[in-house]
Amino acid sequence: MQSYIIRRLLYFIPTLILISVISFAIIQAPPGDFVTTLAVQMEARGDQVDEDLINALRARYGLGKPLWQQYLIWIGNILQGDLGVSMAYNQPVSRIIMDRLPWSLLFSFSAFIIVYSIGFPIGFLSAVRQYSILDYVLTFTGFIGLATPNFLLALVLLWVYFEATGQALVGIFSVEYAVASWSFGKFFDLLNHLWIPALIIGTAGTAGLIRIVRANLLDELKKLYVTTARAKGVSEIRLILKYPVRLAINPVISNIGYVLPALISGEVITSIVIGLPTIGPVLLRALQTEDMFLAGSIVLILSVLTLVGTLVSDLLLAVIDPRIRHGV
Amino acid sequence: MNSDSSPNREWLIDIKDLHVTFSQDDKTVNAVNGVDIRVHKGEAVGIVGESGCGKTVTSYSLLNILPLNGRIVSGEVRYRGGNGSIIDITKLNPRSREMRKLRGGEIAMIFQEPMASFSPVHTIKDQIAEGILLHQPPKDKKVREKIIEYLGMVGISNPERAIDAYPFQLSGGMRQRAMIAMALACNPKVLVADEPTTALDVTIQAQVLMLIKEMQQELGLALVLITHDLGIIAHMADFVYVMYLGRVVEKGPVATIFDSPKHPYTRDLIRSIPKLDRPEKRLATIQGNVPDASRLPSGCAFHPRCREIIGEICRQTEPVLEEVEADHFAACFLHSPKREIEPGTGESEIVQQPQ
Amino acid sequence: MSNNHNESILDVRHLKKYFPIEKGFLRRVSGYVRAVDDVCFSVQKGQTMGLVGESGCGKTTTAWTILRLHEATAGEIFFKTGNSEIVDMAAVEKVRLKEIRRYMGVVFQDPYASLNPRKTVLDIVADPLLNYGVKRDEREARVTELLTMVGLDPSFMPRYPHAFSGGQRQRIGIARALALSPSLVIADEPVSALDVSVQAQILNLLSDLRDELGLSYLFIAHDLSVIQHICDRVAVMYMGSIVEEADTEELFSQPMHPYTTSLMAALPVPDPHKPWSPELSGEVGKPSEKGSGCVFAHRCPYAAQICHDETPSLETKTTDTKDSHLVACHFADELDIDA
Repeated sequence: MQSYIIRRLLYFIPTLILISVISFAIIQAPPGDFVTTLAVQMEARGDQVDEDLINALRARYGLGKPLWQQYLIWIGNILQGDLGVSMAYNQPVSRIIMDRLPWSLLFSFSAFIIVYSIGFPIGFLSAVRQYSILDYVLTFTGFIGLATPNFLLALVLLWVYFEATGQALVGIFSVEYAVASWSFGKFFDLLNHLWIPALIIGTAGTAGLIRIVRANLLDELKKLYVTTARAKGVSEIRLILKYPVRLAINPVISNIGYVLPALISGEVITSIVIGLPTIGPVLLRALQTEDMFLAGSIVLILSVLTLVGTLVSDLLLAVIDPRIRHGV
Repeated sequence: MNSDSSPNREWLIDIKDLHVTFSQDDKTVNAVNGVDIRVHKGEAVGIVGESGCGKTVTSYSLLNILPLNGRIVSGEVRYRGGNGSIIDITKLNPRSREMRKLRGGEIAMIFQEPMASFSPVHTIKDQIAEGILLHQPPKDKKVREKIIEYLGMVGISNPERAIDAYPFQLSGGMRQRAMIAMALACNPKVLVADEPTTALDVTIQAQVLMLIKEMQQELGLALVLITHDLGIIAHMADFVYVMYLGRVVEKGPVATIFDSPKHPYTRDLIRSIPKLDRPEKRLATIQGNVPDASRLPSGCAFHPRCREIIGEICRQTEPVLEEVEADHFAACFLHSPKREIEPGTGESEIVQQPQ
Repeated sequence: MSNNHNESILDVRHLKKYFPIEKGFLRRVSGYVRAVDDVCFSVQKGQTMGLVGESGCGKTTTAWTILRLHEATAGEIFFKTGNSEIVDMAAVEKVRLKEIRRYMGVVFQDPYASLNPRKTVLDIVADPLLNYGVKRDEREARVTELLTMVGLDPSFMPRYPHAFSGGQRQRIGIARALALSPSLVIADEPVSALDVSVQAQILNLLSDLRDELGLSYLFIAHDLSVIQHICDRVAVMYMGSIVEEADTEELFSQPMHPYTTSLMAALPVPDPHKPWSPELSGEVGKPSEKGSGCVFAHRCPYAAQICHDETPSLETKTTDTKDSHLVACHFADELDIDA
C-alpha cells in the first residue's frame, strides 16, 4: 500500500513537469515574444509606448535569454503566484483566473455530481434488469445522450426553458440579482441557473458512465462468486449490492480520470453558448487573440486539476480494493 | 457401498423426470432431459459425465440457482426436511424465503474454481460469516470463534490468521478448504460438490478429496459429487450416475459400474482413460465428439458414437433406464427386452461434422 | 524404447531461469524466483520426453526458455535443426531465431484460447507458412495435407474455430504446429483441457504422427497417467528442479524419489477395488523461499537432517536396467518405496 502510494505520487511529478513544458510551449508558440506583440498593439491603438515598461517586462520574463532559462523564470514566477499578464484584458492572468475559476469549478463539480448520481443508478438498473424494456429505454436514452453534442443540447434546452418560463437562461444570475448582494433569493436564483448548465455539461459523461456501470456489472453478475453467495442463501438484492456492485465500482472510480477532461471541455462549450462567466469563454478568446500567457496558464491549471483528480481516483482505488493494497 | 434403493431407506433428495432448458442466441438448448436421481441420508452419490452432459445444470437445479436464461421446464426436485415435510424445490420461487432457507442451510454447495468462487475483495471471515448469520446465528459464542473452529477443522493451519485473509492471499488448496468450511459452517444435510478439485494439483486434490470424505462420514452428510474424473468417482462415490447429453444412461453401485458396465458409453469411457496400473500401447477411444446439446441426435443420444449400435431402433427410439441386475440400471436396447434384432445394421456411424 | 539411438535432438544443460522479485517503490530486486534451477535433460530423436510436475514446478518455464520466449539466466540449450546444425538456443543471435524456430512446433493447452476466433482454419494453419513466405497455392495444398494428417476433413478450411469441438480444435492446433515440418514438437499440456473420450483420440493421434513423421516430442503434463502413456522417458520436476528421471517403464515400476511415489499415490485409479491412500501432506513451497537442501525436504516423510542441509545431486542409481535412472535423493538407495 505504502509503496503503491509513494510510487503513484512519484509518477505525478514527471507528468506535472511535462504538462508545464507543454503549457510553456503553447505560450511560446506564436512568432515573436509577447512584449513585442504588446508594443505593436499599443502602437496600433495610438498609445505611447513606454520604453521603460517594455524593458522592465523583458527583464522580468527573461526575454532574450535561452528558452530553458525563460522556462525556469516562468515556473519560478508561477510558484510565486505570478502567471504573467494578459494583453487582451490588460490584467494579471492570475486575477482573471481567480475571478472565474471558482465558477468553473462549481459548474464542473455540479456536473460531476450529476454524472455519478444519475449514471450509477441507471447503469445499475439497466444491468440487473438486462434485456427488459426498462433496460432498452435506458440504454437508448444513454446512446442519445452520448451522441448529442453539448452545444446542440445547450441550445435546445435554452429554447425549451425560454418557451416554458418566458425567460432567457443566460449567465449565472437573473438580472435582478446580478449586482445584488448575497441573499437566499440570490442563492436560489443561482441554483436555478446552475442545474441546466450542469446537466448539459454532464450529459455525455452520464451516458458514458451508464454504459460503463452496466457493462461492468453485467460482467460481475456472471462471476462464480455471485453464484456462491446465492447458494449460501443470501437474498438477491443484498448479494448484488454486497458483491458485484462492490467490484463494479473499481472501473467506475478509475473512470474519474477520463470524466474530468470531458467535463472541462464540455464546460468550455456550454459556457460559451449560455454565456457563463467561467474559464471556458476566456480560454477561447485567449486562443483567438493569441493572448498566450492567459491561454497557457489556463491549460496548465486545467491539466493540473485533471491530474489531481486522477491521482485522487487512484488513491481511492487503493483504499477500496485490497488487491491493489496488497500489490497483487 | 451400502446403497440399495429399497423403499425403507429414506431419501433426502428425489429428482424425478427433470427437464431443464437454456435459451442461447435464439436457440433452445436441452441441457437436462428427464433425469431421475435419488440421494439418501449419508450416501455419497457420484454424477459423472463429459462436458455438456448436464451434470452441473442438474446440481444447480437442486438449489434452484440456474442462471437467468435457464429454466426448469418440468419435473420435480423433492427435498425431505428435518421434520419430515417434503418440499418440491421446483415449485418454489427462486427468490423466496423458503428457497433461501434451504440454500446453504440444508443443501450446501462447493464449486470448481476456489479462486473465482470467493469474492476477491471481501475477507474469508466476511464471506463465511454471511452464511452463519443467515442460517445458524450462534447464541453461545461469537461468530468469529465458530469460523476459526471450522477453518481448523478443515485443516487450515493457523486459522486465526487465515480468517482475516483475503482469498488471494491463500493457496488454491487452502481456498478450497476454506470453501468447504464455509459450506459446513451452517450444518447442512447435503453437500453438493461440483468438480471440487479440477482446478487443483494432484497431491492437493488428494488432500481435499480425503477431507471431503472425512467430513462427510464424520458429519453424516449426504454427498452429491459431480466430476468428469472416473478415478475420483471410483474412490469417492457409493452410488454412481453416468450422464450423457442430459440423460442418465446408467446407474448403479460403484463397484458394479466399474466391474460390469452395461451401457456402451460407460464401457468406452472407462476404457479410454490411460491407466497407471495397466499401461496400453494404444488407448481405446470413443469415436467422434459430443454433439451440440441444441441438436440432440434422435433415438438414443449416443447412437452416432456407439460401437455396439443394434440398428434402427437405436436411431429412432429413446431407450429408458431398465434394471439389468439388482440395483443396476442401463438405458440401452442391448439390455432391454424391447430390443428387436434387425439383421445387417451392426455398423456404427461416425459423425464428425462441426455444427 | 531405444538405448542405441544416441542422437539427441535437444540437449538442455544446467539451464537456469530466475525471475527477479521487485520490492518497494523503487522496485529494487530483493531476490529471485528460481523457476528453473539447474535443469539437465535431453530429447532423443524420434522419442517423447516427458516433463511432469505440479503447477509452479517450472515445466512450462523450461519450455518457454527452450523456445527463447524467456531469456535463460544460465545454461545451454543445444538444438539440432532440420539441416543438422547444432545451435545453442540460449545464446544464438536474435536475428537467427526465426530461421531456427521453424524446426520447433508448439501445441498449447487451451484449444479455445490458442486459436484466433476471427481467422478461418485455413488462415490459422497456414499462418506459419505465410510467415516463412510459402506461396499461396502451395499453402493451400499443404493445409489440405496437414488437415488430412490430423484427421480433419480438408473441406473444413473456410470455417471458423467456434464451429469446432475442443478435440477438433486441438487437431487444428496440431496441424498448425506441424505446418513447417518441425523436427521437435513442444506440447504443453495438450490434452488437459479436453474431455476423457477426446483426450484418448488426441493422445493416439500424437503417437501416430510421431511414428509416421519421425518427430521428437517434449511433452509437458501434470497428469502421470497421460505421461506414462505417451512418453519414452520422463523427468519429474519439483520446484524448479528435476528430482527423478528414467525411462517410462522403469520410472513407473521402480520409482525411487519420494516425490514421484507421492505423485503416483495421489492419483485416484479408476478402479474402486484398488486402494487409494494418498499420504502427502503440505503444499508446494514458494520457489522464492527456496533455501539449501533438497527441494522436497519440507514435505518428505523420510527427510533427515542432511536433506535440509545439503542439496542432493541428480545421480545415476544402480538398477538392473541398462538405461540410466537418475534420482536426486540422499536416501535413494536405502528407501524401499516401490509403487
